[in-house]
Amino acid sequence: MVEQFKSLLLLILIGLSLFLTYQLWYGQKPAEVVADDVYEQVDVEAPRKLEDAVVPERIVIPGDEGAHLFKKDDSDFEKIWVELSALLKSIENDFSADTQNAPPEEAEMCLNALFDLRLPIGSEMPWLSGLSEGSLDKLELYCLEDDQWLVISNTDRGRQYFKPEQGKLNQVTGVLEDITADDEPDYEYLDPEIVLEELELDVVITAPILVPRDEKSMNRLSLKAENIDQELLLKTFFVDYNLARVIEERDGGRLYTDGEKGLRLTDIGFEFSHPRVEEGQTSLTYSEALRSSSNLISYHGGWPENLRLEDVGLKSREGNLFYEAEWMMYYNGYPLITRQPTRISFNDLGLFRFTRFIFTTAKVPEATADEHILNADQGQIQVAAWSEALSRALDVLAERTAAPQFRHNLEAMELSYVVTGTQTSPKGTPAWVVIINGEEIILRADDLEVINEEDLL
Amino acid sequence: MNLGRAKLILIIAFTGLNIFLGYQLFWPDFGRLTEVAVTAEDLREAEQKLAENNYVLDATFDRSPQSSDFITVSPDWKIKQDLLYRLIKGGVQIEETEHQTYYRSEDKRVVIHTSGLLQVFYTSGGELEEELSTLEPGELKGIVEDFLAEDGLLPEEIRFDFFEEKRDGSITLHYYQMLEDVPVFSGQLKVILRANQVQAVEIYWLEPAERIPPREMEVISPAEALKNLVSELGPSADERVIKAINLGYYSGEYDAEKWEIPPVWRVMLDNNQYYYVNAFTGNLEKDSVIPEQL
Repeated sequence: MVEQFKSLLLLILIGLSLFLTYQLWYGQKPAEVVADDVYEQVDVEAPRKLEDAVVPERIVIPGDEGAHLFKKDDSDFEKIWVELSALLKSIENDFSADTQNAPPEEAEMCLNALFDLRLPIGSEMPWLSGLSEGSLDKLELYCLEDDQWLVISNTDRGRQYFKPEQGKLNQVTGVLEDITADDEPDYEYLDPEIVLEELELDVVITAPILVPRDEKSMNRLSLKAENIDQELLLKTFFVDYNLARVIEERDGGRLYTDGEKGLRLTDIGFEFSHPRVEEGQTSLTYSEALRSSSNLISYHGGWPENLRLEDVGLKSREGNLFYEAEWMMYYNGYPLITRQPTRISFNDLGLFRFTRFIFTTAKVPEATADEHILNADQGQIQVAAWSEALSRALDVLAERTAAPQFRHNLEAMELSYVVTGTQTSPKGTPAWVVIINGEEIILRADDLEVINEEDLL
Repeated sequence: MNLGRAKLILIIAFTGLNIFLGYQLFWPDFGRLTEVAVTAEDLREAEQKLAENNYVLDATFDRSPQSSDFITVSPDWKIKQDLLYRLIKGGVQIEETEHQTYYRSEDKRVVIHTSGLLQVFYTSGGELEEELSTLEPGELKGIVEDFLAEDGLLPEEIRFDFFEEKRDGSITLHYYQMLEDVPVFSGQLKVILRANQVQAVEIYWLEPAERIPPREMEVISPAEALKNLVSELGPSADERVIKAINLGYYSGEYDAEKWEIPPVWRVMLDNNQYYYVNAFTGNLEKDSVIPEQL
């Protein structure tokens, strides 16, 4: 009897040990262990270096009649900028405000690079590291026979001059000659006299505007919204994204919030907001803000190849100082304008606002790629002349403004793509974008029909 | 060695092994049997911080560690459908705007908001057939609930919250929604009474879609929630009394298909003012973090 009891007890103990071993190995973890496991390593894109982040807004090579215009994401633009950038990196502290080093009057401007996004210079910067810390917004190259002069517009110290030794600029001038050798200048600077001659209208031109001299064609683009890894994105915005809750909106959007910050994801982009951080201040310098901008966009979704940093500026709202940085996609040198910008706002406490709406060209099957670009029936349109576009823009302005406009300040006029269509089928529509008296007027580039802001994606 | 002795040795060995395995498996929960989320020291610290900011704690709470999860909800349309069915049967005028639909019958005006909020206004007053001033609060509550049930406006899982008397003589009865014995503070029902009549009923009710057990986590302690709240609110000019602190679910209203609600500590102050502290993050729940609608 005792032996039987021992046998039974032994069997129970063996069974129990097997069960406990199983539970220990495969059983559920307690709640607090689940909570601790959420801090994961996040692998994101490395930030861009400054020399890849800051480029001129445009490079102009003046010709006898008109000018060659090179804009971001244009292949020739890249070639010129690579050489210019290398040149600026190689120069130490050879610039001077002394006009003795200025080019003589008979020297002609052979290159002009405008930096809407100021180029940071000085120690710890890639460019002109021998100069004191600052930034420049214009770089000009003057040529007279075999001599060249570089002139920079330093935002702190005004114009500064440098006469390099003969041959130092050969690389740059060589590239310029190669690029412009076979082509006639295709752009011209707009001036009030030309406008008066063409339109019989008195217009004040407040910024240098380049318009095509001859007939121009552009392609209608088939676009797609960028594909973002949403799970990775959540991990970058929420340290512990298990604490974020989801709100499914009626329009298909998904909103994540942890009660402090919110992230709204849609089919075409996202919006992020962190109001508590908004109340901070910033002590960052311009160059530090440039680096932070690069870090933030690379961390939260990445920095696509054709996306260009357009502006980084110090702003103030309700006594709080912060930086705002904005990006734009480019296609063949033309910007892709969206209703919602790709823009971040940040201060010393971190990122507090981010809207990101990036469209890329949809892939065209290889066999038809060339046709897509060249065949007029499939997508190419003839761009209306600048004079027609300006005339139409003035008519639209008159319709929009109740009071008669006695003075017309033409602030900008350029060809662009505007993103239209639907969320599932976005399109890049060629357009003239004209700014007169602070009013932005968008006209379809071919028939000059008005495109309203609400028509944009 | 005989067999009996061998069995005895094995029994001792397996008993030891099982004790070891059991300890490894259950030790966190053994500790939890006696563990508290709020120690006497935590409570003292919290009370001190409250006192520094002119708040007095006059509430009791469960001091054991608690865990919770998110629940997914969507606006409840059942009450509205039943009400509309009866209204339309009796003849009704309908008018629609972008965010509201209005239904007008002989004795009621009903407004349904796209967010799910339902408002019923009794145009000639919903007669209660009792003199309100003579009633005890419990009796009044019973009469009002009978009235709501008769009109098809009494949801099932409901919990009375408090009475609110206004200077104009009106009384508002506040209720909130329950889900498996846990309060869902976002789900609310208000009944406004004036001169022995029900003037209006406002219902924002939620339909629980699912619980999310894989995301079950331990919540912060009530003491921590109180400290966070006071840090957020700052010092009070007048002395404020904290009357209650309860664990439930809460989020702002969303005009959305469905959404997840986090657990919160609801802190009730002396003038029936409520604050909701997220029980996972410790943040004060606000609506303003949501980016503007695209």
